[in-house]
Amino acid sequence: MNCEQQMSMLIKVQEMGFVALELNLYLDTHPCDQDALNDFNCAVEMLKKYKQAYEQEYGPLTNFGMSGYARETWQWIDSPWPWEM
Amino acid sequence: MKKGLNKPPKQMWMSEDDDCSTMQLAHSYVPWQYYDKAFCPPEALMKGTLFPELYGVYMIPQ
Amino acid sequence: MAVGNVEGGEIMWIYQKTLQHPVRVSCPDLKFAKTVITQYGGPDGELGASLRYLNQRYTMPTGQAKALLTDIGTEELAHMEMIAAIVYKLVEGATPKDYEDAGWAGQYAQHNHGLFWTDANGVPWCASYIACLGDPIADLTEDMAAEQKARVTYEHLIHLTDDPCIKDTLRFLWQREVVHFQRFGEMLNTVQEHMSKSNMWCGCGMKE
Repeated sequence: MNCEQQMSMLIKVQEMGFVALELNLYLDTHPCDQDALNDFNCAVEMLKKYKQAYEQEYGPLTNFGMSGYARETWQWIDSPWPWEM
Repeated sequence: MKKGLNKPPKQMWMSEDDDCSTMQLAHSYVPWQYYDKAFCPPEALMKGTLFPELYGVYMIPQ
Repeated sequence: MAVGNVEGGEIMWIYQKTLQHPVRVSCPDLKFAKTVITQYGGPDGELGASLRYLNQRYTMPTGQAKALLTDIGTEELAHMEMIAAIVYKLVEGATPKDYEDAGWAGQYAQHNHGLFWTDANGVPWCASYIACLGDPIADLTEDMAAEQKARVTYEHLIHLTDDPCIKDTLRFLWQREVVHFQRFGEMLNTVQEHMSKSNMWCGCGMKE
């Protein structure tokens, strides 16, 4: 089923996004922690890849130009929306 | 290598940048967390934190 | 989920088209929907948390504190969306009679399947749930209390459902409160340090 594949690709974005968020909060209170900084950058690298792969298949994850150029159709309006998945 | 857990209790709330701070009456403090190990991303998302030391500090509700 | 953006675009909040954590329900349950909605619009819910932090950040004394309140305030919007998704799924396909049987006829009358910010007793969200004293110590202490209250509320909600899928989601949200408490506590440490150093006269340096 296509929606299973969509979910499994989205989970990778959720997981790595969560790692980046956790490290972001940690760095807000530990701004000089070099290990955390390096791990954050690794997470950002992976997150970029997962986002790109997902958006290639299923359209933009963000609006207002934050996910780059639009394609032939305006995919931002596509379903499913997050509360429907 | 972080040694936060081995700091004497009085200093557990100080960040690594603090020099000679003392606790004051009528102020509240939490111990500093020092990042050492992390859960893998799927486990982190499932558990709700990247940090093993923050998981289980309160009894997990069932 | 909400993403705070500070570069590019015309707008400072960017929405990311994904939940922070998956939300699943095993079957419709209007009674629990009526209860869990307290974390949508109740006194210790995610809307209040988000607005509290996003509003307090303007008068924080350090960049670290402004950053943390912006970031956690933004994350709470993502949590609010997850609660919305839980309620949305719990009421999917419900008839007016289902609402009546669940003791939630008022919700159907006023909102149909629509969501709204109330607590578990239908009391609408109120700005009195949050405070901003403009004093960093008071405000961060309130934030820590808020996280504890949210944590406890999630424990109550987990006890009130048998659905393992919902329990998983609520446990995630429960753990986030624990982490936020730690971060606000660390920020309080830092801010208190900052304020005692920049204060002309501080308790630890005073002599008779």
